[in-house]
Amino acid sequence: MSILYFFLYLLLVTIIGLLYMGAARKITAHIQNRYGPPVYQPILDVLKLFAKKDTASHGIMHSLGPVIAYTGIAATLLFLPLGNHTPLLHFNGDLFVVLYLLVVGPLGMALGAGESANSNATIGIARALSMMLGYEIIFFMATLPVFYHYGTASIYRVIQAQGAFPDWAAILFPISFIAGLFALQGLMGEKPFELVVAPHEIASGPMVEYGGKYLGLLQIWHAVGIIVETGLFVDIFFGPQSILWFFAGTFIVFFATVIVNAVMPRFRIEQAVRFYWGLPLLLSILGILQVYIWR
Amino acid sequence: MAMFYLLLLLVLVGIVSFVLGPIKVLRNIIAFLGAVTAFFYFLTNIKPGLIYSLNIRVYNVHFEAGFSSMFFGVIITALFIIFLIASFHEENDGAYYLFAYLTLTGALAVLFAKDLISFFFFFETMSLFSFLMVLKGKSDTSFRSAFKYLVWSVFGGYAFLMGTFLKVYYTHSVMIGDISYLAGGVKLLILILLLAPFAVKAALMPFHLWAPDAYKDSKDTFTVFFSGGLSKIGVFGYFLVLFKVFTEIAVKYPYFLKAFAWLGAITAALSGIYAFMQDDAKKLLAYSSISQLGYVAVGFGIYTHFSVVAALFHALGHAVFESLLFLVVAGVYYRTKTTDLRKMGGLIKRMPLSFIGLLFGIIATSGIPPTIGFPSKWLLYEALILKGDLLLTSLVFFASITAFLYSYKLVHGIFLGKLHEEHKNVKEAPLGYAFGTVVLLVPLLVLGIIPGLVIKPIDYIVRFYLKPELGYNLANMNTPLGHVNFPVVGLVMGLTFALSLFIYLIAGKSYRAEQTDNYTATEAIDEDFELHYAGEFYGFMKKAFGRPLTWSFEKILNAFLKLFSFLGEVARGFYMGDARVYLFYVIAFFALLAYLMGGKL
Amino acid sequence: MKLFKFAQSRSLWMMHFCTGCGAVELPPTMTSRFDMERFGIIPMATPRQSDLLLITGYLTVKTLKRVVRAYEQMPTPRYVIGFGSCTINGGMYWDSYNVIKKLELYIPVDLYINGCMPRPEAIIDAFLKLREMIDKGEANAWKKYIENYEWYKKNQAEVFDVEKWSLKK
Repeated sequence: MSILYFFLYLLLVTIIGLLYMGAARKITAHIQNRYGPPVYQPILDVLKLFAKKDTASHGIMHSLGPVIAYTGIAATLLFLPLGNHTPLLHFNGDLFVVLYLLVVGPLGMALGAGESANSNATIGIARALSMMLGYEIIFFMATLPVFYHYGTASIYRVIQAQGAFPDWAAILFPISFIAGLFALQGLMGEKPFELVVAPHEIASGPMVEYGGKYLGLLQIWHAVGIIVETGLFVDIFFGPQSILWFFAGTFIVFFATVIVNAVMPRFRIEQAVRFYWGLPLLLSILGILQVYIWR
Repeated sequence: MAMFYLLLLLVLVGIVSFVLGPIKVLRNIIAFLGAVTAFFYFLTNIKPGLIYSLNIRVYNVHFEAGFSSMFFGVIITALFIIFLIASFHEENDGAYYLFAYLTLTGALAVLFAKDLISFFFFFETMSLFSFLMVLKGKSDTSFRSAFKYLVWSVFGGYAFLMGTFLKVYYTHSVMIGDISYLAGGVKLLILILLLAPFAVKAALMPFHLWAPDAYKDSKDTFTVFFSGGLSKIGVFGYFLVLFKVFTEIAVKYPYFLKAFAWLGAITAALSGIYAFMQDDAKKLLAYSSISQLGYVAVGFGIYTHFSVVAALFHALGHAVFESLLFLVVAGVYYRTKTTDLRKMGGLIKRMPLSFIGLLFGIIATSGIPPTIGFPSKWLLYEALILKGDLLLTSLVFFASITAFLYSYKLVHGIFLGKLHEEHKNVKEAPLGYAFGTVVLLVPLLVLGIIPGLVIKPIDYIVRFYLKPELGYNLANMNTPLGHVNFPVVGLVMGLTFALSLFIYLIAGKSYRAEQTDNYTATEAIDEDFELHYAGEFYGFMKKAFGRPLTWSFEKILNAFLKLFSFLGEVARGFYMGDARVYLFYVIAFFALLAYLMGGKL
Repeated sequence: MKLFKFAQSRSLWMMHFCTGCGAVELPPTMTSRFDMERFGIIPMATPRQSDLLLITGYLTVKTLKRVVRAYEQMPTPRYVIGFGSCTINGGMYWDSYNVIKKLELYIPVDLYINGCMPRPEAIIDAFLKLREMIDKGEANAWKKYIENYEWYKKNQAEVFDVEKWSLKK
């Protein structure tokens, strides 16, 4: 019974994530003065990809890569409280469990893309991993004051500790919040930090040899990834008290990243990493100092 | 008595295998049986609290087995067996096994030693014979590396001896015991001097300079034991000095502990960065080993119950995954005769078992659940946040991100990417390597899912010295900050994996593409085409880091070396070897003398 | 099954092989003025990810072999649209010694857009026509390639080294 619930839950969040992707395309289109595709377009894309007949695979790891990627993100989702709603597990999302499960996905994709022996793919992976030295550390440093302030490492308890509007961690720690926003843009892989995929430069990077069902799995990985990444951010900084507010919050945050994505060019990799070691790092250190001063 | 018998057994087996040197099969059997006997003897006969003292006329050698010596002893002896079995595939002479056994004897005796003098003696024994082991390494630069290792070991050893003398002078006792009641700065001096050799052994920056070279140039199988096993003596030393020799350190010198933790974090971060810049698999792993031991130092520096449990657990984890990685690389070297990441690639199709070993090894190194790397990292972060040092936490997190970078570089360079023409006929690593790989995979996964199995003995070690705060049972761990049920994490990952696999299986079919059937902007390529992107893998990071990446401790030491050799040159300049010059010196001397005497000569 | 069919016709990922001058018509088709994304058609980076091969203009011998390779790397079902007169009969290059006159001899084509060159409206029209054909199950040119593989290879062998350029499955 609970396994069925668990599958349905995953399916639902995957579909919501795909709709977010569709909304992003629609928003971008409107910014560019176009109509854009229907919101459900990514669902059609995924269905089409799964229906592909013969897809090229370069070996076992290449095939399992997307599978591991989706495994990682789905496991992360089950440990992430959606607002007040904790998904089936009584054991509520611990920050470090979530952070470490979150890298299973990229690792799986990296392993898979690596086996394809395509240098474009490997360059994409090298960029993705190097980018982590930028945004992951900023994201972590931006969230640390919140967890330290509330004296817990559990995301669920951080949500519980926050209240309605003025009681948000975002208001309490505005500097960390801004640093977190910078990090989120990189975490989502949106422009100006889109250099992992960079279709015009390295032919969509890690995905270069993936088609058909593999690409389909990577698409739904990305879809759930959107919910998990924005959700983590929203849970920590807005403390949404219900699942509805959770989705509202994630959509607003996602909307912001999409707007930035629509109007930005792309950094070079060393520029991107250095960017993170500049202003965002300073902001996140200031955020940490703020929590020290308060206590 | 049991401890003495154990050590005697090891020495005897070493000597017998030396004597049997040329008769390879018999020698190997004796060496193997000796190690296995020692392991089971250790498990069955040596109990915590066992005391023994050996009177050698002038001096009483005191032995005592504690919980910590048991813990580290089991790790070291088990790794020794794995090392031995793999080493039978290499070309070794009898002396190699003699040195190996004497190294192990020294290491175990260090764990049992109760007084500082015999501790020093056994420590130096271990250092000396491990130096000889490195000297027997495979490459031309082995001598230089081994010499470097010896110099650093001797440096640490002398520091330890000085600390011992100071302690004996002030406390009139050679036993390992508390010095925190001593007055003034002398106890800090003793503390630092006693800690130095262990910082060298556990390659804490800035004492790490010997490690990358020594790990790289020692024989591949020995590196398994060297990095996984012998570095544990360093960790044991941290424990010994910080808990047994100086019990009130947290009250008396909190800033020393803080500095120690920061040093550990800097070690972890910088070595991580150096690691992902290396192009040689063993050198990369050497830096990764140093980096992982940095976390252990952080754990000791935080000095709370969680953090020390985390540190000891991580030391065990380090022994498991770092040995596994070195072992796999040794197997790959055995088959391909190279450790250069740029020259390998695509070996997943030829060495699948090694690939699985390496894969889980890097997953554990990165600290991803459900492997042994995760519980210790989790506990360490909780301890760090509880302590409230958020910047240190961030630095540790930075270090753990570098682990993703170097571990991917390792697995990609060796196993993924393009299979080269000359490796088309490579076979799976031989049985000895495969055995170790499989054996090490068991604790790697089991302890990642059920960490409670070893948290209990570790807790017994620590709870005597620090107030027990950690709530745990087989599956769960509780801290004031949070709670994790590790089997559930594993179970959820398993279930989601089953689901993704299900999606994968019901979706359309796929076919196996040749590696030349690749997207190359629709250009047709042949086997010679260089698809493998492995050199300069993170080359762009050099631009991102800029100049700081070129700084190193080694350069500072080399500058000193240059200065001294310059001074030596200047001094040598006086002794030209020409009789006229010497005559000139004599005359000048007398002239000066005459001048100084005021012409009264 | 019907759902998958629907998805297939509504989501066409395009690899535009910019061979000739026709490529210049694609930017307006993609961007604000004509916006082909509203029909679910977006450009993709590699043949592995694409469903639709758009041949925009004349093909020389040199580009043909690359087109064939790209076509073979695309997963099935895959569609080809020949774009402009050049793909039909060589167009203004009808007497050139190294231009391919009839694309259909080398890879199967689902749909041609004639004109030199076709306006974006015509391209959009072709996309809608292709969608209709997929819905009706008429866009089966890719099956022809598998069935008449030998024939196509024979034709290709007359212009380039097939051994080197085609994929081994």
